[in-house]
Amino acid sequence: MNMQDFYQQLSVKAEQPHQRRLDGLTRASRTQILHVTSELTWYIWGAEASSA
Amino acid sequence: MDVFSQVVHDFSVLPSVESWTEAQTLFQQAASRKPNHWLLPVQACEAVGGAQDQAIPALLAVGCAHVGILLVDDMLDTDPRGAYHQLGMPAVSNLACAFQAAAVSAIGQCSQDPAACLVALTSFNAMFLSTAFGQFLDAATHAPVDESAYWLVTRTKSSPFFGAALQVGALAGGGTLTTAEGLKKLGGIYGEMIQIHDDMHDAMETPANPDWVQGRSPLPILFASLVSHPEQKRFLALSQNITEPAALEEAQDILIRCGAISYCADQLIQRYRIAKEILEGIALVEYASISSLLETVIAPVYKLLEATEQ
Repeated sequence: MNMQDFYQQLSVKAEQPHQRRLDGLTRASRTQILHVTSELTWYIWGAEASSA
Repeated sequence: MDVFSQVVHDFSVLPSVESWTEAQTLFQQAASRKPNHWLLPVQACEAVGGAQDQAIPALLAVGCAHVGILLVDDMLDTDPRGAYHQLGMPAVSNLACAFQAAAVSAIGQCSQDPAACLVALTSFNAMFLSTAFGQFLDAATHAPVDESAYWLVTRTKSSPFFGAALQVGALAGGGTLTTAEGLKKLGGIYGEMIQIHDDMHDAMETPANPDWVQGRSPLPILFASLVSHPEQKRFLALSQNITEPAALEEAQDILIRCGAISYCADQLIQRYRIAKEILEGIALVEYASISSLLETVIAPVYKLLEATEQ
């Protein structure tokens, strides 16, 4: 499923648990998201990975 | 001596490197951060029943490959933190070639079995070629024009590295060619997961990540820019002024509301399921180390989904 199709599906009333969770994520806070992504960030191709 | 100290030592005694201070310093700096992905060969080696020591040449190869790729990537991205600012582009290009050659040299020592060594060398060479192409695409397009361009860059630039790292670890540990190939496939999917994870972080961190400023497009930003949603125009306008804290805050809120973050979570979950299926089809002595790689990436995503379900 591409981005546009995903958005269309997200726009209709969620019936499946997985869809409901993805819909719930659209009401998360910036802090919640950043907290999660900071738990595992490798900077695989960023200078942070090699600079002292 | 831990494995990172071991590979720093092994790197320092490679022919030519022993007299090359700049190369040694760059490698030491990178190793001192103990990058998680340098350990992938160790995890694959142990998964096929090998001992950690057997994976040291593969670990050294992955470390050298990583440093060499980063040196080039920083120049292509004009990253303000890149080593080329101190050493100059000509010298850093030269060093990148050296790290690539050092990686191949280390891979040549990864197994006592000549057939396994040949497969590992071929795999690493293919990885270098693909990564170079991916870097070229990434730099040439600056920002992907559509979703397929984004996935092409991810699959050429990022995932081959992870696939090769697991494959050579398995070969170093005495795994069969079939098992090593299976882990390579799994590693490719895992690399895509790591890329998506990093993209989410890059889009949500403050102050604005250089990707915003340089007009590049991590997956969430690409979604909010391309998908037709009610706040698309506002998002694109904010992106023009993203160094302003208020603009960044509002743009990041749109990323969440429009479903860009949800899309990333869904993409991660899809790949997690595919990787689990691949793992179930690989004959390993122990599954925990490889399984934990996947669980570490997906656990925070499930936790977030559960927290925001209500």
